[in-house]
Amino acid sequence: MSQPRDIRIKVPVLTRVEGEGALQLHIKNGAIENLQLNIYEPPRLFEKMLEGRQPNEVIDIVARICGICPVAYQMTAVQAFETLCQVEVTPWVRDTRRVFYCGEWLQSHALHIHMLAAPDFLGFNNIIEMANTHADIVRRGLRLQALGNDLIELFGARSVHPVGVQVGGFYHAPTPTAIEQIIERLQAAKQDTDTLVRWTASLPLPNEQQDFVCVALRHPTEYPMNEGRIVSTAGLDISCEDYSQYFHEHQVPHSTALHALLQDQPYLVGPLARINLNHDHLPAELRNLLNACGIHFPSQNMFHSIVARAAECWLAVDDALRLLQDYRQPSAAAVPWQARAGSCMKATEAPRGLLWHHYELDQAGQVCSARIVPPTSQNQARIEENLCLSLQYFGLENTDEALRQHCETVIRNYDPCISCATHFLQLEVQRD
Amino acid sequence: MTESCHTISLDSDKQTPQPRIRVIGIGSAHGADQVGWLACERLQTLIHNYPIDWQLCRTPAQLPQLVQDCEAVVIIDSLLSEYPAGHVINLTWPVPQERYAPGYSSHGITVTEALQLAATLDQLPAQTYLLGLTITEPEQEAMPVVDNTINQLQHEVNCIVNQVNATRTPDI
Repeated sequence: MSQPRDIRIKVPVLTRVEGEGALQLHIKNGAIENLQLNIYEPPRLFEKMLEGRQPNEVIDIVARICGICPVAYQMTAVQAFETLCQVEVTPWVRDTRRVFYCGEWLQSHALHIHMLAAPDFLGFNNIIEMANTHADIVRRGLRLQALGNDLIELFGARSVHPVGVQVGGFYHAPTPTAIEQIIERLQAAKQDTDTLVRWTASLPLPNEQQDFVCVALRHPTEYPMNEGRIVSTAGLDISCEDYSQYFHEHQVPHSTALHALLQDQPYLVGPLARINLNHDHLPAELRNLLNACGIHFPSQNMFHSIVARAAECWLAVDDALRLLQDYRQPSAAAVPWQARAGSCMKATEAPRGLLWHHYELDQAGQVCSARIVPPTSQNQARIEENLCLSLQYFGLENTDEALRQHCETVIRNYDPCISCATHFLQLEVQRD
Repeated sequence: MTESCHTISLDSDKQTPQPRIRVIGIGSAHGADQVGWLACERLQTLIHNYPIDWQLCRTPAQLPQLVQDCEAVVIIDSLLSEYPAGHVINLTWPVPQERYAPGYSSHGITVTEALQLAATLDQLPAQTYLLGLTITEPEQEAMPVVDNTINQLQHEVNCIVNQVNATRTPDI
């Protein structure tokens, strides 16, 4: 019998993730001695930049936190301000904001499924290799991604860092003709999302059961996006205002992103957590499709995240179609409002999971403090926990290259957005 | 805002014919990475003699969709190189790998990889040009780079337009 190896694996730059991160793994005497997901991207200090800004400025600035999920930041901020300022938006605004968000889920998930995650499960090094033999699948991914971007552009004026949102609604309502054009494309995309769900369910995903707590929003009647209470699979059920009583962030030496814990334990946010907690709100047609594919939620297999993402693409197209079907252009795209002083908190479901904002506004209606907890910093502790469990399941006796590849697959499965996560720097000043 | 070069289509009621030449500025709002967007915006105000579809792109992952359905595509991006700042490097596709080193990019997909993907999917126009505006460091101020290169850049784009017109198959 061979002696257990002393293995040190260092992945200096994680590829196919958003932002800059690394991984360090030390295995000694057949056991994991040290495992760290290093996020070394410099802090971006967005929260400080928001101080002194008016709500509508904040909405445009927070869109800059992420090039992939700007809508999530805008929706969370705008609704926080609307809660504080007691703004009652019209049903048109509520519906179209969900469509706007559907666009983001669609483009973000389509990108991740096809370009980032799928090559791992099909044994390709990257999307270009995969396109040589799976061209139609890659084209489908790009088509869905483009449709998602165009949905965002419809309401946000552009898909990257959109500028269409304001407190009370939007700056502009699309014309019925523009809506008719997008409806045609959404109808055509139904077939794409249907085959996407079937295809992800047929991928050779590892069958790895883990014990983890899921956290997501839950709405009484709909699959959560913009509204809901924060719930967990461990029985938590709280309002957004109570978030900081239960969830705590702390800094770890190896990361510029904070680690968030729920009652001192790692937890999962994102598509799998959402679907595990809200599968009863999926349309019956989608539930039947998933059942027919042999995928049953709730699932404790983290690799079912890719199927959850595909199901959410299906839902995004279906929801957008439903909400735009009887579209009428309103005379005003926003309701008037007045700034107020006070504190406001809001959470929404970004493509990668729960996103929580907290703002304090002064008498002049300017932000005097801001706190933003993005999904990736919430998932960071869970990723490390998952890596430890998954590596043991995979087998520590595997070659270094196989271990490295498996670690990257596990990390990419979360679709981590490192750029979103690194916006906070804890500065400790020592004075003699 | 630099993004004004992006074709904004809030009232896109009119069906526009397929554009023959598309110019895409790649970048972000940070440091010298803004160069692609700013250059695109400036060019839009200078080139009027030919209908060009101006686009802005944030992530190379969007490129395979953006480059399709046109006869020629011109991509403008900042280029960290050994040249002094403020030069235009014309890299006709396919770019030899040694001239465009792999770098870090959003989601690990670089511009050249995105174009390679588009080519694999038969979505890349036969005439594809990469115009790199040289910078010497990522934090460099973008506007002076654009100021220094805009005349040369305008010349390059005009040459490309002429070339595309010269190779044009007459409409039937």
